Amino acid sequence: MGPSRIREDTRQLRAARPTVTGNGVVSAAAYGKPSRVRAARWRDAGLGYALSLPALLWILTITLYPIVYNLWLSVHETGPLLQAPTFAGLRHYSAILKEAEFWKSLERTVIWTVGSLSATLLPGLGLALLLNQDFPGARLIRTWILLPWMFPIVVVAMIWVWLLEPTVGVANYALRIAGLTSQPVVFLSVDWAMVTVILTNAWRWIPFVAVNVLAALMNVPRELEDAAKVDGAGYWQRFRFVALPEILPAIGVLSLVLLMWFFNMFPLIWLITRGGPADATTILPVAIYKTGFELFLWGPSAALGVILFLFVAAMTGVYLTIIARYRIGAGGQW
Amino acid sequence: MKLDERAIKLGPTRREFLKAAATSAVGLGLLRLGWGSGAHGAPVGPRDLVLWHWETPPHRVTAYDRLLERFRQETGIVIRQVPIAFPEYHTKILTAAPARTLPDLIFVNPPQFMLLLSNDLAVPLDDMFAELHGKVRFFSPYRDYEFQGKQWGVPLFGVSWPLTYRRDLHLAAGFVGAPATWGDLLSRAEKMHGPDLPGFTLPISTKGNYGNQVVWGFLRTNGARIVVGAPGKEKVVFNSRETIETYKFLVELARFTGPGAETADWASTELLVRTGRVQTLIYTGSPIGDIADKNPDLARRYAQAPVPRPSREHKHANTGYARAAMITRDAQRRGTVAAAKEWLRWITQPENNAEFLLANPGLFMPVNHEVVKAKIWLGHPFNREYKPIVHALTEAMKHISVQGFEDGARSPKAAAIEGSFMTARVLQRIVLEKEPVEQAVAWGHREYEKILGS
Repeated sequence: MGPSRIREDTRQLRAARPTVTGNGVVSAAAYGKPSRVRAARWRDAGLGYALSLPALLWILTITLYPIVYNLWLSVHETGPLLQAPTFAGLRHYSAILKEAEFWKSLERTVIWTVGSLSATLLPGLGLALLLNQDFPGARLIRTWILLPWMFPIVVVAMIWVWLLEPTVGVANYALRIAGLTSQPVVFLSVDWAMVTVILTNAWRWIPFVAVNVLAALMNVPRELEDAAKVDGAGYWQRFRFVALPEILPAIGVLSLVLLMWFFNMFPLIWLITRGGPADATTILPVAIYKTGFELFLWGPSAALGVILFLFVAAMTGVYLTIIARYRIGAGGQW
Repeated sequence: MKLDERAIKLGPTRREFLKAAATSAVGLGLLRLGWGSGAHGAPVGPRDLVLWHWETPPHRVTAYDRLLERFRQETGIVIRQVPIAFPEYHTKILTAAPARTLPDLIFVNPPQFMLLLSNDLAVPLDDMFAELHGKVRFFSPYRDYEFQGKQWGVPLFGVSWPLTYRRDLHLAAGFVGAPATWGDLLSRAEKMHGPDLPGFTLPISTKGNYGNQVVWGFLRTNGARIVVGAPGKEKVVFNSRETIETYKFLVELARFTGPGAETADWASTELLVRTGRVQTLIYTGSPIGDIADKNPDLARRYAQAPVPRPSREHKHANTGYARAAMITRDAQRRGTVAAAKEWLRWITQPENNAEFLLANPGLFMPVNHEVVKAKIWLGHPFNREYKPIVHALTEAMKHISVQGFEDGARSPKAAAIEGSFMTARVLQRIVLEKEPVEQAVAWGHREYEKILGS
């Protein structure tokens, strides 16, 4: 049985699914005449708008105003409290773009984001596949696995800071007892701090990814798996041609969300290293905070914020385009 | 007659009106004589005040609560404390000021003092301060809260950062007493350095203010400065011979520091002191005060002394703060200034002030000459048993130096100068990034100029 046969069988089975899709969209045929369909759609749409209006207004109030204010700050020379602001034009932007520190921070931000994403997604996927098997205690593990994600981020940071402390930390003690090291390992040194914070971040997020992917895996129709089995597909083939296409939308959405979260993430690095040592973990969000609230340079800090926003928007755009192309290439299927 | 018409007819008679007026007058008089006046006879106005501070550890909060309750019982004035974590303190001030929600009373270090003052958020305390100074004679750092001929803050307690060392380990290595000069310190660090205990625990860190505070103490012993000049017209003088000499010395000292120096902060270093994993470092007396009960054997092995100087001819200096209470403009708007002053008078009385300092034995030190003689201060078990340490810490309060306030400077940008942790950042560039000392200092100079020019 070749991959093309498995793919064809799977496509036919998918095509035979009911008209009401998983995301609740009902096909037009279910309504009957076109005029009724239009009226029903308008009715639904009106109700939808009415129901989402309060939330929409709230979101606009708490996001639009800060965004506009931040834009205003970024083109003004101002500081804390009552200093009279003066118009600065694009001076802050040009100064930032000329600074080597900014480009280094951007480079670190990309390393942090890509590193965290890779260190989270792949083990998360592996863990989900493992938890999708039936074995004694699987249910218990599925519940408890979320524990690291449920801890407040401050607790996670403190736990790791103390575990990794070179002189009195448990990690170094264990390494020494095991005979693996004779000198203390400085996990948060200039060379290793970024790797350490990425792995700490991954420790927190892997369960979140695993549970989400597991939910998607559990929704893979049994008949697809069975059909592939009947066709003689092995575990890897079933995963590649049956499960993966089904869970890809979930992975896609997850990675997009994580990409944006990680690119913007501030608290974990701040709590563990405060951007140090020697700026080794100063990613853009940390640089924004330091500029704004340690140096009180609000204009440059706001300009950095706008630049970060543009990067995230651009990345999201590129990512969505890739996903859309993939969907078109797969004939509308993920 | 309808009910509402009768009500009009039945309004107060002349006699009832006079009776009500007389009762009100007597009531107001009583209020004026009794509840309405403080211990000093001045009307105190509204009697519900808010105090902000950053002394968040629970034992300090509890001790403050006890004192504030006693104050309430004695004066009827309620003061509610709001502990705010230090890293958020500036941000809270910055956000509360435009919203006019600053507290009535606020604890400050000199940088926050300038933050409040340069934005016209404080009330001058000249008259009251003169009266208090006459009674208790404040140590000279009270001048850090003097600006344009006026006194804006009343120092209540101090924190200093002298040399802390393990007397037993120094003795075992053949050294008697504390190292007094940079040369002494360096030779001891070299001799005592080992795989288990570093010769000198030097933070090369910008994680929090600790690294910055340690470097600043050494810089000041050599007379190095960051700014000079009148407020608002300061000039950066960081790139100087004194600064470069100090960093060259620190580079030598850094050879004998321990693992994790790159990310050392107050908490991690305090843990090392509490567990005896240090030989010599710059730190407050707080951990010694904390372990005096739990591990007296270790606590007794510690001693404190002035920060070593380049030579014996140089002046003593160390990082430290005389922490003051200020009254805000918002208190003036709310009419609580008199009540707030009442509290300042009360808390400055030697016995009350001593109790206040003992909220954390070994950490909070006197800032005036009278509290040192207070019975409560002298009689406290820690102060009795660790007299040399308390003496060293108190003496250090007389040589404190704050960034942006050196040699009489008053930089309105002091909060940003200190908040940048620049002195520690320069050390990181030299030690961790192997940048030449002169180049790193020049870089730090330019960064300070950026801060001042903003």
